[in-house]
Amino acid sequence: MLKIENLTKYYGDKAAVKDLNLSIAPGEIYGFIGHNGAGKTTTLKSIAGILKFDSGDIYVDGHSVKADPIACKKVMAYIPDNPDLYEYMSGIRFLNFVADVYGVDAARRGELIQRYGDALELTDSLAQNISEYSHGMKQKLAIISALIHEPKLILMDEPFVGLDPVASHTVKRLMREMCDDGGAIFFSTHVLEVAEKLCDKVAIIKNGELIRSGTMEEVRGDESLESVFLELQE
Amino acid sequence: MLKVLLKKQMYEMLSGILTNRRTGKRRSAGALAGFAILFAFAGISMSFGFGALYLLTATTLAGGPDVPGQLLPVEYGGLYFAFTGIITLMLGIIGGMFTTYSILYMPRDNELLLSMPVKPSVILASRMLSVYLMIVIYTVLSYVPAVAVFFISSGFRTDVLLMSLVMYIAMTFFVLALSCFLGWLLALIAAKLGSKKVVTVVSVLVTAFAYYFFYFGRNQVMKLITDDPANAVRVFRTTPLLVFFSYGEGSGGSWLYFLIFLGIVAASMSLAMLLLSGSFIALVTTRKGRKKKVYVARTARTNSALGALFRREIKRFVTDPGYFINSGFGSIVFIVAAVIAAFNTPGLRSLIASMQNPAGEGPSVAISPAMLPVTVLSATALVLFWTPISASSVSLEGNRLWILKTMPVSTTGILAMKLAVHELFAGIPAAIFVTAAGIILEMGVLPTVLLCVAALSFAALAGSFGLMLETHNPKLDWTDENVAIKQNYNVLFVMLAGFGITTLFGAFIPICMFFPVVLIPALVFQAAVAAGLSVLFFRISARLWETL
Repeated sequence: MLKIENLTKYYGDKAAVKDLNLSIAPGEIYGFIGHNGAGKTTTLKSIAGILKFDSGDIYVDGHSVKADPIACKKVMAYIPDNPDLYEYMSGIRFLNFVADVYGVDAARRGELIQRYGDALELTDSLAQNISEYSHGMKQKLAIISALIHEPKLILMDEPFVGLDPVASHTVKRLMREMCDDGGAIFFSTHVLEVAEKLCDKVAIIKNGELIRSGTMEEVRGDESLESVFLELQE
Repeated sequence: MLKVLLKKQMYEMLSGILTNRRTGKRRSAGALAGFAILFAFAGISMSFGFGALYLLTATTLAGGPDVPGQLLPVEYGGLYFAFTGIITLMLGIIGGMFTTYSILYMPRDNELLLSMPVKPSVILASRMLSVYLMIVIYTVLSYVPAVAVFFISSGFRTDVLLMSLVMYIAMTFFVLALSCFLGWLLALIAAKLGSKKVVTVVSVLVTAFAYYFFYFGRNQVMKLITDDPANAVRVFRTTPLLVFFSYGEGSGGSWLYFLIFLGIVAASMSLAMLLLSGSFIALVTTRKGRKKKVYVARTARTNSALGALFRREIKRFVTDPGYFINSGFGSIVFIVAAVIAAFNTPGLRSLIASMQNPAGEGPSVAISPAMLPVTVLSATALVLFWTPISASSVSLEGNRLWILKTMPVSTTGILAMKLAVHELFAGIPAAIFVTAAGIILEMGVLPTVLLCVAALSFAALAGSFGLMLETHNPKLDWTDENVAIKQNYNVLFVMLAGFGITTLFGAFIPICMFFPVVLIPALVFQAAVAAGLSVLFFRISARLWETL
């Protein structure tokens, strides 16, 4: 579903990501962990088509992000760490806007908005302006907007920040369901317990370089993910 | 504390000039010099325009051009400055009043600052700096030529220089106080009714009223002064125009009126500060009267991807008072001008006829009918470049740019929708205006049609030029949306380009005067050049968007 080949991205003279290689298969929840400034967001934004990268390539569902970004974006969704949304729109207008852009028909979008809105307890607030939403509500709306076009791959940057425990639990369930249906999720997190419980695979990045990746068992061995992570960061 | 906040405010204002946002590096001395030259060019051009108006006023008060060497009489010095005060106030209002609400009440750092040990009056005072500087930048363009023309007309006087300077500074604070009142009123309406739409409507009404008041009021005052200066002095003294009379007499050397005007300004500022600081926390935190709307599911009306983007651009433009007022003012001007012209058709036709067949004494020259379309087109092009809707459309994406960047829509599609909204709100009103002008001034079918096409082409040119500047150097890191509009140098550059374009294509006016036969080729040429440049600028914009 996602293949990253030798991804390198510089900011000026500083390499934010160096020669990164990674593959995610359908059905996998892939965690991406690393210290602040390690290159997680840069990697996610490069995959999402927000950032141009200097070398290497990224393939989403077989399409190159460099050569055919539109095809990649059609099957992908991105949820940023800070969900800045159009505050002049109501929640439902924003969802309809996203659904229009992705070509979701009226019946299907209605069904999905109801399903995910109810699951995240946001349905009643959809008529309100986004400017009146709390951070958590905006995060929920961003998650619903990512799900309503039924992407094959979802990129999430710190998806649980700002969510209450119930919503957090629901999002984890939805992530699992999506992957059980053949989708894939690549998400960054600082909460190692979440990564440990939720992910099928995990990658650890340090100073822009991938220092370990694989299944949870391969990465942590007999230790906890936290111990491995701290060891690797030293 | 005030110093810290003022530094932050200044940094926010100057960061666009001093730093290249694309590279994050400080601009070179050459680039900064370029900025300075452009600013100076814009300022000097506008000052010369006001200077010409003031010279006409001073000459009239001095007895007219038929009395060579006649100085501006001492007793009319105050009247002269009173008139310049009206223009100064008008410019100050353009500069500050309509964004005060957003700048004072809407920044994103409200909660951050309120959580800090800072008095509301200090937060307000620091934010007022932005408004105040805009007021100064605009009003100084009127003050400098006003004083210069006064000295040319009646000789240099040190007391007038000093007193007029103090009066000018006082005038800037008077405008600031008026701006604060309006900002406070809009914030109160927004908090009580919980609707930004009402704020938009009120802003538009106030703008329309202010435009009407100043445009027609200025003409009436000008007529009053030129018809009978002695009577004008009486009228100024006995009506609300006393404010301007005090300003004028104070600038002209009268200590009594000098003190009266300072008193008026001090009272206005004190009242404004009292009102604003007393209600600041309540207004920025209250959401009273906002009834929670409960979503009721219904079948959505679907749109194509481009249709959705187009609707989104329209929604943002019409629901944002700052954006609508500052960038869409030309749209209103076109429509109002077309309506006024339609109501004054006989008068306009007889005026044009008299210019084409001048009679009586004097060195009058008959103007050619072929001059009319190219003159109308030049004026239209200028107003179109002064309607810079697209020139802040990328900056306004701000932190939300990621949404467009991650969507499966082509760059040309995204930018085309921004340009389409520019055409809708600038091009279409311009086309209506030139069509009305063509019919009212009896220009003929072909010139009117070509004029219409040329107006749409110039709208596309202004729009694509704005997009090119925006994709090259957008101002995305704002904390207050108005920074992306009002303190956006791309907007200024588009407006400056308007002068250049008008000057360049204005050359067709004398050409058509002497060679009427070139009218049709001239209109076709202008439309084609504008369309060609639009395509070029649009392509460059699309390339630049990819690098954002």
